[in-house]
Amino acid sequence: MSVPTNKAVVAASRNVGKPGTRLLSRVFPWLVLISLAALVIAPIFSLVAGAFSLSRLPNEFSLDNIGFDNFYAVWVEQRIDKVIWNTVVYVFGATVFGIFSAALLAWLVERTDMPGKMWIYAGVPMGIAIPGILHAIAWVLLLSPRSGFINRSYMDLTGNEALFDIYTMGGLIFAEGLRLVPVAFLMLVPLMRSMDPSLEEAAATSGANPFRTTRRVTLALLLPGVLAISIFQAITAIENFEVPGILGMPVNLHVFSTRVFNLIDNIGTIPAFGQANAAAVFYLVIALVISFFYLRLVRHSERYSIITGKGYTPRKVRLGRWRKPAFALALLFLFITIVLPFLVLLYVSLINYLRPPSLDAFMSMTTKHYETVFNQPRVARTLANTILVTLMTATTVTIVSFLISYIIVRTRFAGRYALDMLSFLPHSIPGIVLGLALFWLFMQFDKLTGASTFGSIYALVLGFTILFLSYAVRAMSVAMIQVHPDLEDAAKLSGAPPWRIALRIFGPLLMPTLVGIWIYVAMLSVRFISLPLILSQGGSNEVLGVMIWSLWNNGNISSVGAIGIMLMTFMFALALLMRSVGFNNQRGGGL
Amino acid sequence: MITIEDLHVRFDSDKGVVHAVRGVSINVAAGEFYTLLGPSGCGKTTTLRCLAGLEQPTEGRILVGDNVVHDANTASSLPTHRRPLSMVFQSYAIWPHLTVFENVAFPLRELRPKITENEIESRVKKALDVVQLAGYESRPAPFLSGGQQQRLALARAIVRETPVVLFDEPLSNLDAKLRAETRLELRKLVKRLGMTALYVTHDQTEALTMADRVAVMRDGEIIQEATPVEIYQKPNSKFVASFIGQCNFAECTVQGNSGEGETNMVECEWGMLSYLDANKGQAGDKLTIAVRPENIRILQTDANEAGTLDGTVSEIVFLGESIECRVAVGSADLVARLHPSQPVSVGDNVKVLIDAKDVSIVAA
Repeated sequence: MSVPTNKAVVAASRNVGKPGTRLLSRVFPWLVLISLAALVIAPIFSLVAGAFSLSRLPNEFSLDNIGFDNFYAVWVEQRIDKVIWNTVVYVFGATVFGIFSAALLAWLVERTDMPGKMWIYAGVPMGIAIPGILHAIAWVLLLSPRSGFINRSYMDLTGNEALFDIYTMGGLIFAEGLRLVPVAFLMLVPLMRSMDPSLEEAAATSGANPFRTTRRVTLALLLPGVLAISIFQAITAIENFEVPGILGMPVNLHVFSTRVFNLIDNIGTIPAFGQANAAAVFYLVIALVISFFYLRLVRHSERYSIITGKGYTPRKVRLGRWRKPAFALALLFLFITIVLPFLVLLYVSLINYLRPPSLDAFMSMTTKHYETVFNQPRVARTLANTILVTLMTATTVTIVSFLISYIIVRTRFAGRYALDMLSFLPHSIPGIVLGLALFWLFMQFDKLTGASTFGSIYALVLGFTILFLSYAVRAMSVAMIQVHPDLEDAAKLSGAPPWRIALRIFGPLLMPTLVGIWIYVAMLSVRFISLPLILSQGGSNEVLGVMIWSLWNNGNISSVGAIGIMLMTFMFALALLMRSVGFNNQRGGGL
Repeated sequence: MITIEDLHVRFDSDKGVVHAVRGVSINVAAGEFYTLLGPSGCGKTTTLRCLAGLEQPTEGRILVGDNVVHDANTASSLPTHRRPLSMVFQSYAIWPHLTVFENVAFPLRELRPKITENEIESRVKKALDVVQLAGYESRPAPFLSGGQQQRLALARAIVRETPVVLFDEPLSNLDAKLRAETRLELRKLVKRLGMTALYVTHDQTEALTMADRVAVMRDGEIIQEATPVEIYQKPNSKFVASFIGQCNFAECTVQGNSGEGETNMVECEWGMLSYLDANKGQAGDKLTIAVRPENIRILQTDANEAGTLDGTVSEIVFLGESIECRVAVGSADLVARLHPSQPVSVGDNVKVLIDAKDVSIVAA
């Protein structure tokens, strides 16, 4: 150890850095920025252009035939103001209901001495495994006014009117509110946990009684965070198509997402493509405004908060004799949101024809619906499409978000703020709107080039990639910020070239995040149906969600049950896998 | 061993261009322990990171040994991993996913041509022995105490036996007692291994006790570069004098040669004083002088010494190993550091003696 010169080290230092690699590292961030800008802006541009087109079909678009007629028609003839009002009521109601439920659960597990907390911690996030369309279908099976199992049993027992009609604004708010809970819960738990108990103790030693302490310190400190999470969830609700599509559309109770879809896909009427675009432009503007408020509110605090690692143990509220009722309430929630939908679908997939549960019905159980499903060539093809789309989307999103986050977090690239903003923008684009925008873009592209991108599975992969990128970039950035730059610098000083650093330091440290994002994006791609509903054209790129949608609308409930059960089982497995790699999606993205 | 020539670093920040390093030039001899000392934001860490290749200089040339590792004129820059140096980070930068052994083995595994697993093992063991971490090989790195992590970071820096080792405030996360012990051990180790060290710190004690030479930096420039003794005794500016240790300052006017050899007389707010080195300043010049508190002697009024000033004790602070005594002299105050046994109390009339050799000229 006494000889301070190592020949290998000194010899290696003689060749000066290659100019080629430096050029690449300078040009590459610009390539990423320009590609992302094209990816986000091109569809929006074609959407807006389409809103001015007065031609009957998208591929007949011409500059000679444009005007404001679509906007006039949407506002005056289609009464979009009514849709705006419905959307406001639905989003507000669902958000308040969802956040209240999630906050109650988070408070019970974090700040009280309720027993059985582990069950709640583990159980609530499992809700993300249930696709929205199956969730909504399960509630229809339970609470549709005439044939819903709960309503039917109630009517048979008491002779009264139906107990609760799910095909109403109340039903919409109830079903969507429940769907918001898992992600809201995951966002609220760390918020409640990170509170420094000395702040409350300081209030107590200043003479404030427990009630005043809670009001003036605890709640006051939580309020900005809860507000930010509420707006985030409101964006999720406004973009949702599945729940209003199943519960509202059949009774002409429209919110924005369903109205836009309805304009191009309404049985018995000619698709009004230009008008759909005009409505989508209104829709997009509203979503953008809300996202802007969200960004203003959180600035960099929420998106880039570094976990301090300081282990606080906040004072626990003693529930006393309310401990067991509180646990029962939490369990009831798990039963309603997770177990019940599963059981209902399991039931309809097993009985020979649809009827309320009875001894007779249970006796007649059969697996014939599963056999029917498996014997259909359509199912096999759809399954193959779904798997292919899911694998490609998850892999693409993981790689692209890694590159973008790396540039944002780890370089001094001049355009990194623009990159940051551009990668957040897709979060405010509702799936239906992006679907419509890409529909126009692919139409024009195919007309110009003669290619057939429209109707291919690559169209879906592209759409999903744009939609899920913002979530993945944020989760990735947060994880990367937590890797101290010194850890990489130390590897550089140890003589490791960049690719070895990526392999031996950065990769292993980020592995849980990479795997977690991959699985979560895979789950989102399976769950999400609004975009493929517009971009799926026949067998060549039909995916599972779209097939469930069409089977349900054709009244093929038993097949929906059978496919739904298999899908949910698979999703639960993915959710468990995601938790086992130690990744939790508390950064949201509950699309 | 290390040569930095006219280094400039400019950053683009939200508030415009920041000129973090402004023309720093240093020359560190082989085997020398060289320290960059300065307050936060003075550019010392940026200078170090430029040497490591973690930061890109805007102008300047950097050599390690005879190799140019960076030259802004020819736009050539050796990437960090090919520079013959190692570094100890302020945060230690211990890789949390690797064991103690693998953390130290990492630099060896990056050597090309590859060395055998046996050699890696023996060299890691040797390095861990040196820092007294033998026996911890299989422990996951996060399960070490702060002091152990610091020593692990040191083992990783010495295991490759690079000619140059860089330290970025490596002791600032240790508690005071451990820091005092580690200072001397660290210096001894670096000297024993014959490495050339560049050490960045904001702690004057570390700079004085460890370094062969100290460069004091401020606002991206080196203000003074000298041995610790010289820097302490002959600070060239008010900034250096007050940054390292305590100091009394006074504005004064040169009165001319005192007639006693190479000393000049000055008149200041405390009264008449003399200083050595009559070359600095001529009659009528305005100067600032500095006197360290421990160089001020407090005598009883009946003492019979020449050149004393009359004063009154206004405040006494007991510090344990010494007492700090504030004395009103002339139109201003002086702070003197005395041995605790010296009998002084507030209100005493005393005589203050300042030797000509202890008066430094810090600004003309």
